[in-house]
Amino acid sequence: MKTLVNILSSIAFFFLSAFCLFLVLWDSEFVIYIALLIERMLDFGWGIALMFTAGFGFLALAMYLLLYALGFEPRLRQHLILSKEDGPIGISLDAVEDFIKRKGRNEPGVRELQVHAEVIDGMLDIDLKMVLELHRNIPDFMREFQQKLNRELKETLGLSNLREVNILIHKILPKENANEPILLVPPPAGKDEDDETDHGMESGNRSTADSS
Amino acid sequence: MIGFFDTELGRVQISPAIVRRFIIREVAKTHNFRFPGVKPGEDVSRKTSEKFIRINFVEGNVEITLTLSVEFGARIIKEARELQGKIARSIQLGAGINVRHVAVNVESVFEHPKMEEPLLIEHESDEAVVVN
Repeated sequence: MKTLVNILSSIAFFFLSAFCLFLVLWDSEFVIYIALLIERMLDFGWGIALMFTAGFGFLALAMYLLLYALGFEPRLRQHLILSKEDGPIGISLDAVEDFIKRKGRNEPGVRELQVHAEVIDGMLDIDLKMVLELHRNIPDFMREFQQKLNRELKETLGLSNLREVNILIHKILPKENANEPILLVPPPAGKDEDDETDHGMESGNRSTADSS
Repeated sequence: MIGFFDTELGRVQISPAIVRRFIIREVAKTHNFRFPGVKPGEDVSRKTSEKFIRINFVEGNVEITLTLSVEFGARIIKEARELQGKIARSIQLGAGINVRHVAVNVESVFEHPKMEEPLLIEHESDEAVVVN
């Protein structure tokens, strides 16, 4: 992005300098032709749209260059300071979000996870948007997941200023492998072989039906 | 600015590129940190090193700010402390410049590619008959 803006701004300045040199060295009336051309363009809808686009484009470029010169780098997100002894150790919010995503991906039952970390008044708030697989009691699962995440963030990343972990369950999907494998249980003793086989198949079918 | 130390015969100046070399070597030795976008075993380019290692010399002493990527699951504070110590020690011993502080900014998380488990081929155990 930075490179693109640098290239665009240098092209714009080259054009400006070429235009000035052309006016001075060759044709000073060229500016009148340009003005007439623009005036004629403004009679049409596309001409107005083109001028608007060019105007806003140059304005955006100028604002970007100004902010960059003042030291504001775009997309530079806040860092959290983990420790200050012997030189500060910081972590970016992107890294925190990436860490949580990876943790969530390893968690059975979590299909998708979107994370947004934000620092408000020096405290970290985490918002999670999840797509779950329906496989067990969701409140229990969420409570465990929150506790696990909280512990991991405190122990592994060393985040001490974690305030809350908000979770929004966006979707609940059926389990991917709904047909659970049929367990081949050894036949119970004291029954005929045919009965046992039938019983085994019935129980197997029932378990499949239950799971689906 | 440039780093320096004084001897009886005069001043010895150290350029930021040399300090960066020390840091790159120390980061390459660690298992838990690497520069963002640099694969293991890959050389760190000059552009990358200038981007992710900020060096500021103050009265001959050096202040370092590193932007690094951390391995998923590593204990960041402990590992970063160790790295800070190693970098400070190696620069002080190798280049003779005092290190004021080493700031570490963790910018992203990486994970080592999972190795496929080796195929275990079980052989039947050969029973040896021992006769006394």
